[in-house]
Amino acid sequence: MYIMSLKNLQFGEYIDFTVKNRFGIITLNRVHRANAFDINQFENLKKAIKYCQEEEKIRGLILTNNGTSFSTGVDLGTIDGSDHIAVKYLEETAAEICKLIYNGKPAICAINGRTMGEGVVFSVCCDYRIATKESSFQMPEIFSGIFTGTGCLVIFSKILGISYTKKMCMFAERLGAKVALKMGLIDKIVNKKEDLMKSAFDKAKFLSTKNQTVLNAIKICTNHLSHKAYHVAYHKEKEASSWYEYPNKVEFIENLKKKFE
Amino acid sequence: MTSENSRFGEFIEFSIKKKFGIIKLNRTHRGNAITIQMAKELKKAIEFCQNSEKVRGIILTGNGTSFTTGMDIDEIDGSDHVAVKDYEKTAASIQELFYYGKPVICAINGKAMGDGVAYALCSDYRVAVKDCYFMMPEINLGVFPGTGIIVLMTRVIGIPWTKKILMFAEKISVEKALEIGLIDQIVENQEELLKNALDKAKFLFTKNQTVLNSIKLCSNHLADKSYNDAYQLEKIGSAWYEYDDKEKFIKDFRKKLY
Repeated sequence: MYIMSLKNLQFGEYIDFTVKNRFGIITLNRVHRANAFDINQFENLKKAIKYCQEEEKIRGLILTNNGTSFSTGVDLGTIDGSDHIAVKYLEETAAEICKLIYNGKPAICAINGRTMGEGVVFSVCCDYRIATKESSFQMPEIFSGIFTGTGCLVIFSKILGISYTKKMCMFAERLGAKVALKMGLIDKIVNKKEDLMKSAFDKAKFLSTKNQTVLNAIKICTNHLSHKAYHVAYHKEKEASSWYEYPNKVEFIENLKKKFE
Repeated sequence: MTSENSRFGEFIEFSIKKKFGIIKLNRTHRGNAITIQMAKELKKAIEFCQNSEKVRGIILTGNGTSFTTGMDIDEIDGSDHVAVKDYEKTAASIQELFYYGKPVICAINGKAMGDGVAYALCSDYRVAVKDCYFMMPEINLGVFPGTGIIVLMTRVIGIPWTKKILMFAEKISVEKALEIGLIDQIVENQEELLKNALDKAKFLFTKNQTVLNSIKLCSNHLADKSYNDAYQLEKIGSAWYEYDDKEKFIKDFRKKLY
């Protein structure tokens, strides 16, 4: 197994990063605060994801966590809610992370433990979500009167549907792994942390051995065609199915993304 | 087989029961895998049903133990992009005829792969025997499934399951297919399959056909529109009784949804 040198690939103290099976493994590592995000960690996470998107040797990413919480969302202890400029910057950074995952290379989310706020949002953006059986999911923002404005409602209503989006964002229901599986918030439950990474690596291996142009084109179509009129959507799908006509596949995928967003 | 039964070609069996056209995929020596010729025959049979005043809907099923294993990769080389494109064009128009046309019941008699999954998705009621399964193996061959199936799959079963089927080529059991909305009913055996499909056909052909077809069009085409735009279209559907020529009304309504 090829492991890239870690020395050159540090994205800050709260993000661990390695490369395995041609997938970038991004581990949230702010365990003393249950992986609650501060602005520094958001920026570092964005840098790590951007690196994966731009690096030709990397075919996708796995987002996971150290400790027993995947993430408890934004760390309210580090942000002054009345500082609107700071709040806006935080929101914009989180929104950019969502877009990078949703529009980018295949992403697998390996969730171990409590998942709240932006933790839920980032996991929903991923293409395959695996969670340990003790994991739970909650969007508590409504308790503090916070509007979840990072693209969360767009993505939730597309991926989970309107009923489940309301259960989570209007009623702040705390959901166990079994319910999350049923509603499409995750794709698989595993018994323990060791199984989690094994399962994530298996999926990464599957993806990394396939035709990357076809795979990325399928991801873009799947994420962006469901809310367009049938005929409009089909014409876009046809553009994607002509992938073989383009000599530069990387450029083809980049252009496809721009057209579909 | 009578010549009447094979009027659309050697790989398609056709009959009419309960005012429904029964189209049977019949290339059992290849697991009902679809060649370019067979796809064209199937399209002709569906077009006949759409254009015949006597036919009120379609039951699509298969002979043998497979519903269909999809495009016949022995006839069409996955890396021959021109051949794949030619096949894709016919397969795409079959899906469109189903999705925009008269009510369709899909009676899935065995494993469904590739286009078999696509046909189940664009039908209005899907009955399947208990030992069948569903799979889209295209990604293993580097084939992009470009017949409109991503468009259909994301709206019928949602984005997460579409990814599991298309990006990860997961095999879907009949029970899971029922749970995620890929099918509507599971039956014990082949006899039950056709009996249940004909029961549903009987239910549909005894109803007001204009109302029924309007409901189908609205159900398939309003979810992707803004509330106001969608409601304006639904209002057209609900004013069906104002039009003297009901067939023309449905045809015009269909055009508005393109």
